[in-house]
Amino acid sequence: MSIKVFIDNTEYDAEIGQTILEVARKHLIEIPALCWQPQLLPYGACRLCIVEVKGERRPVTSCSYQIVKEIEVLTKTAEILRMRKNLLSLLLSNHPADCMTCEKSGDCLLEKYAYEYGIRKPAFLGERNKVCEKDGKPFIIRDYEKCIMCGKCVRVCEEIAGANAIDFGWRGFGVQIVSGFDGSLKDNGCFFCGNCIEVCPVGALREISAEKKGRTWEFRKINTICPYCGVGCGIQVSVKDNSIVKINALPDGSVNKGWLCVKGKFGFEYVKSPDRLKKPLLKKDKKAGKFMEISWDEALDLIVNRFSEIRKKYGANALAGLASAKCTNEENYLFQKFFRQIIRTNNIDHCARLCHAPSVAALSQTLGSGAMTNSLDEIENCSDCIVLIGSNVSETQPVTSYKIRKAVSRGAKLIVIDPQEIEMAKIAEIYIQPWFGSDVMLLNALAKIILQENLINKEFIEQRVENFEEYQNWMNNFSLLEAEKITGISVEMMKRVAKIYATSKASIIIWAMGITQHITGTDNVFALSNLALLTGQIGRPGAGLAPLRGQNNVQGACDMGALPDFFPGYQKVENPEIREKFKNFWNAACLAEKNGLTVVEIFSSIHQGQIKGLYIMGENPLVSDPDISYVQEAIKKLEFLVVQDIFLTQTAKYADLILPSACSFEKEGTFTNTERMVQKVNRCVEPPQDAKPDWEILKNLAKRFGFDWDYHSIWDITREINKLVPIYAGITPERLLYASLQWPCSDEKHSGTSTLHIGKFPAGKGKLKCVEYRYPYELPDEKYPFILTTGRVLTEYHTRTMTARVDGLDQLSGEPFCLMNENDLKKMKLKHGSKIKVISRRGEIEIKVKKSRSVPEKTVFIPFHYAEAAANILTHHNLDPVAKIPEYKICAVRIEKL
Amino acid sequence: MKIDKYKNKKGYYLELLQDIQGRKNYIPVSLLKKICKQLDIPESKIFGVLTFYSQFTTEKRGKYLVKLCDGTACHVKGAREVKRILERKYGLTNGKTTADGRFTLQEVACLGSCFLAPVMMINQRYFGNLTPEKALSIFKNLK
Repeated sequence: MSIKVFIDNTEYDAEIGQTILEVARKHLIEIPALCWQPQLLPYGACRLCIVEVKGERRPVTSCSYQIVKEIEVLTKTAEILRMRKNLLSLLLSNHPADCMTCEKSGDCLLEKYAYEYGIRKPAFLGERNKVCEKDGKPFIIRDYEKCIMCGKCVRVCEEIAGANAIDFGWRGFGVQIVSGFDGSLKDNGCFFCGNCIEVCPVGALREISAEKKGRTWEFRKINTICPYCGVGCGIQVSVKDNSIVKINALPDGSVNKGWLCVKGKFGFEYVKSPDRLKKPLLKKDKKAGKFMEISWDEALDLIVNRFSEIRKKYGANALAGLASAKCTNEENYLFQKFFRQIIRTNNIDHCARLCHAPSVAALSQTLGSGAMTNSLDEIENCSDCIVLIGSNVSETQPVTSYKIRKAVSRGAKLIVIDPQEIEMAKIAEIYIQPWFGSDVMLLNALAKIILQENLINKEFIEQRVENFEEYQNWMNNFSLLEAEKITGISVEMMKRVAKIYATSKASIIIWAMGITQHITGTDNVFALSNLALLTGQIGRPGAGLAPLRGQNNVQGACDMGALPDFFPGYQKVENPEIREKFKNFWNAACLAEKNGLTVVEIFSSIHQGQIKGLYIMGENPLVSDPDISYVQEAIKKLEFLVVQDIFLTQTAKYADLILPSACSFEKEGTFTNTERMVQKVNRCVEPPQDAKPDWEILKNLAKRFGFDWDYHSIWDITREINKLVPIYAGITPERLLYASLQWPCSDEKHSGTSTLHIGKFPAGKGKLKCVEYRYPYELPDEKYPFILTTGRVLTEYHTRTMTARVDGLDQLSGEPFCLMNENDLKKMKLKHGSKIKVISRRGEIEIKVKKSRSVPEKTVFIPFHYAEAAANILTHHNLDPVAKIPEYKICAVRIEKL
Repeated sequence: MKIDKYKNKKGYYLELLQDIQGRKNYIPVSLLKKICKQLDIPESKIFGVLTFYSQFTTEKRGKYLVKLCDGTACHVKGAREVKRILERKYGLTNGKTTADGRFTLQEVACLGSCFLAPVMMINQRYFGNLTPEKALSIFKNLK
């Protein structure tokens, strides 16, 4: 409801419950405030934002004064200005006047207000904060002399990050921000998200990396998108002398609303690493693995010759390509175009196969589209019940976890379902710990309860679901008691979960690899989709199904058809009309008619001698793919392997030819994040020496093959995508300059789609799927009594090609480790930090063990990032029959003491 | 120490700290850290509470905590002399614990019992109208 407010005698509209400061800032009325942060709860500590409100006996803090009736506010009376000046003077009296050497100068709020209020020197003399620095290594400087006690860092740590690493300590004048027992941040559960630095109004918290690199006015500032995970945070990159000095979060209009995580904030050192590939490299000596530098001309000619040779000898399907979820949409588009138009094969895939292939496969069948149905903002603002299943979101997509945390503090109910007691379980309404691989059973049981207790949404089912009766009949024989036995979750508990999910106003299910990386991955997603269809929890803001995508552009790489069965925009390869459309547009003589091979199938085909040449763009299968020795053997069998990357990865070492590419800070293009938001990536620095953006490499290569790829800039490719991909039709380069857009966006007037499936599914009606429970492929037995489950950690990214080259991240988690339950350690007489051998039927690794309470007994958790103790030496490569995803989450191992 | 009663409770930090100090006479940091882990308390939060209240100490204290008042009334009525004799005979110094671990002296500003000035507290008991001789005999009678 709207209300009138008079600020300095001018009338404004305000909503009930808005604060005076919010209204003022909205209308660009300057009121100073040091402790106020729009994304945090009002605090009222600094008192600078005081204003006069008619009828109030004394000045009020405008940051915490909520408007409930019509009021008159005066913000600049002589008395108010005098009081503010006094307050500033008091703050400055206890602050070093060292702006001339302070890193924050130019960006400091206290300095700004001192300037605006004309305070040349403080009016008071007295005791001062002592010079004092505390341990924030490896990323944060904690300069206590400059602290003004606004408490923003404490609040952001609690309200947003949930780390609770710092608080106020001591008393009176001695008050300081403390970590537990005054220790280092590292030992106090700090996530190093750096959001405390983002909000610090003065120079008390700063980036170690930016020290002595210059001050704000010396930097060129470029807005772009974070290169790490699928959230797609907007970042502002400060650049000086072609080097990145620091990265800040973009506050408004970005997905992240001003927050970042440790990798996005601090993980950019790799860009300038001396290890970057700078010239094309040719393998000189296959045995010694030595490379020599060659020119681009020689490199491209070699590809043309070898690929043509192989195609002539064995046919086009003897070649295959792995695209990259780290590259831009345009580059992935060109990559698949290169293989489809020029090589004429559909053997293209990328690592989405290893993460969300089941989500795409299942949801396209039941709903007609495989993407996340809602926006991340809807989770934060609209969802009343959030089911988090198989997603350790605070480690893998921290910024999404901030949004869930905010939703919980708003009153949304969080239900966490995970065999590991993950961080988010701490704030969950209900946490349940089902046994590994029992998801289908558990989800079917929830569906059974929803049917049994009549928690279904009848109206929704009648209008939008097609096979309800068949499903209901199939469910008749389902036994809840058996489910209880297999999942280890009591029927009582399942009933509670089902009830909250079905009866909340808007429920969303969020999942990730814990659901998909199973041989029953597709079935798991079917079972999730069933729940949404039965209860009608889909197609509304805040209600839906949310597979969280892993890499920065994995959604985009799928959208762009870096898949063996789809042209860009999920247009089926096997559909002759679609083929005709692409053939005509590309002016191709013919296009391959059959679906190509998937990632893991490509490697087995190499083993069988069918594939002879492979082109890998920005992937590292020798660490990321299951059963590494199998992949390694395959790669050795290839006649010709090209790897295009920014570093000499484990895979690149086996290449015949290596092409140096530019990283995402060095090129333009677009990324599509987990919520289908297409965002513009901008060039911040120049690539090293001869390294080139992937799209330029592909364009030049196509030209050598005699194809006229006439793209003058990356945006010509975007325009081609607009024409060929209906869901991207309206996402033009011109519009992306000003805003990010969520697909589907059908034309230039369309404003993008935040919530999918409102009113109708692309498939027409939603389909319920009867999915039978199947056991995982390999379960523990006497010989291999432990379950191995793989996953990720916060401070590392995928195969560590980037994060290992960021010194601070390396300090935090450089050494491979595994987690085991403390009781298992006791039983086996192992200590925290002792080395063990983990052995499976495929291989063995040596690794340090850490004590954990989150991992259940008889289980080992190993992050898959580390090449030197690669978890994927142990995993098996048996696949989900539909989506062809390997079962990374479960295999049987045994532990030996060393 | 039984800590189960704190599970699923809210706003119990002060109570917990008092509980520990009540049993141990001070707050051993290693014990508190262990309890933090078990109850999932962020160490920063408990440390904030711990350092805010002057009643808590993380240093080991003597069997007898002697709070000797040096507020205005006590000062005027001879608290200094009482302090001096205790310093000489028992080696008490403000804020320190004696080598034998029996006494810790805390000089305080007021115990709210000016009518008994000069006054001191030994653990939970008050002793008033002190003279140096009376103080010595009280100390002598402590086990």
